[in-house]
Order: sequence, then structure tokens, then C-alpha cells
Amino acid sequence: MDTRIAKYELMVILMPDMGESKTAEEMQEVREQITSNGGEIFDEDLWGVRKLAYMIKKQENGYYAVLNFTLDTSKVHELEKSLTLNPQVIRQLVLRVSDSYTLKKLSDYEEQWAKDDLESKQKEDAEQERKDELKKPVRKVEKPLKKEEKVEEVKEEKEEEKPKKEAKKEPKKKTDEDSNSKSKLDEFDEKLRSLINDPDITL
Amino acid sequence: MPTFKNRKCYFHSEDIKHIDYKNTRLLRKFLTQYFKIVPRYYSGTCIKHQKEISTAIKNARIMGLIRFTR
Repeated sequence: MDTRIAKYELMVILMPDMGESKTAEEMQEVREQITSNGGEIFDEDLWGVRKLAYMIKKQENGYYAVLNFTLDTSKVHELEKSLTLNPQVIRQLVLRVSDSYTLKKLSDYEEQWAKDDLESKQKEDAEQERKDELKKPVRKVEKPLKKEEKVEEVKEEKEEEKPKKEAKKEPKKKTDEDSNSKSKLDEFDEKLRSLINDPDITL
Repeated sequence: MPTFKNRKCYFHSEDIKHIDYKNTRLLRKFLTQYFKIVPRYYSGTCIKHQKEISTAIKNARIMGLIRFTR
């Protein structure tokens, strides 16, 4: 049989109550199993004791470890078998990985997650601020504004009515007096002023 | 979880080439509130990435990173 060497990733969950020295020994055993079969460990990530998502083998916690290594394809099965038979190993998972794969450690992921959390929090805060700004001033300032606006509106109506009447009158005058260009200009100015002044008040 | 309107594949738009089963935050996006895998007609992922993510979720479940059900 021709043998090929490929990249693999191994994740092991060990029993949590063994103590530091024993876990280190167990990890050494796993490493020796790989290296004795002609493998080469090039990356390692020890997560430590974490809480499991559900109970496995009457355990709530587990010691996680991730190893990246190269091994003969024919010897992977032996490794898996020996790990399953080991009573100190809760679970194990060996995955074939592409050659360009690089291990992304848990700390990197946690940093990324923290960043994402911060961004989402900032967004939420910004949205909340917007809502508060929309809500509070509307309730507080509306009432006084309305009174002012009412007064202003009355004024505006009066102001608007007057120029309209004048405007109505003016064209009639224009037909009568076409020769007085200066008076026309003055009328236009008045119109413009009234028009300019109105929207300012409404706004 | 991407909405129904976003019909583009998430992994194509984000340019993610390798889906890692250790990245539980990413996997959580493709699980319902009862931790079931979101079907393709809701998430809008392409068939290639749907298969990859389903295997990743299953691996993470076996290794006790994600729970099976709520």
C-alpha cells in the first residue's frame, strides 16, 4: 500500500477532575501516539476546562484540547481507536483538513466575538438614543410649541390675508396704471417680502 | 439568522472559505430558537455551504459546543 501524508485536526475532551499533572501526562500520551507513528505536531491549542453544552458520561465540564498534525492516512484509524478505548477521554474528533489550513485559536475567536458584541451594543445604544430623542422632546416641547404656533398661525393668516387682498387689488390697478413702473416694482417687493416672511414663520 | 428577503448566500457575500465547527457564534446564526438547523429556503445559503455548515453544526454538537435541542 502506498502511504500518503495528510493534515489532520484532532479535538479531545478529557475528564476534568484529573488534576494538572495527570492531564499533562494524558496529553503527552496522545502526542506520543502521533509522533511514534511518524506524525508531526505543528500547532496546538489548549482551551482548558470548559462547561459542556450537555452532560456527557456523567460529566458537566470537560478539558478541551486541539491539535493540528500531519499523519499517514493509514494510521489515523488506529489513533481514533486507541482514543475511544481510553477511559480518560470523553469525546474525540479527527477531521481531515486542507493543506492551506491554519488553526484559528479560541482566543482569536473570543476577541472577534467581543468586538462583535461591542459593535452591536453601540448600534443598540445609538438606536435607543435616537428613539429617546424622538420621544422626549416631542412630549415636552409640543405643548408650549403648539401655543406659540397657534398664535403665530393666527398672525400668519392675518398676514397672508392682507397681501392676498392687496395682490388681488393690485392686478386690477395694474390694468389701470401700466405706465407707473416704479409702483409696480414696489408692489412686487412687498409681495416677495410677504412670501419670504411666511415660510419662515411656518417653519 | 438571515431573513427571507436576503436571498444571497451569507458565505459568498462575506467571503468565508472554510467553515469552522469551533466558531459557535457563526453556527448559532444558522440555528432556530430550538437549535434546529435552519433550512435553505429561509437562510438563502447555497447548497455547497449549506452542506458544509450542517456538517459543522453536527460536529460541534458531538463535541459538546452546541446543544442538540432546547
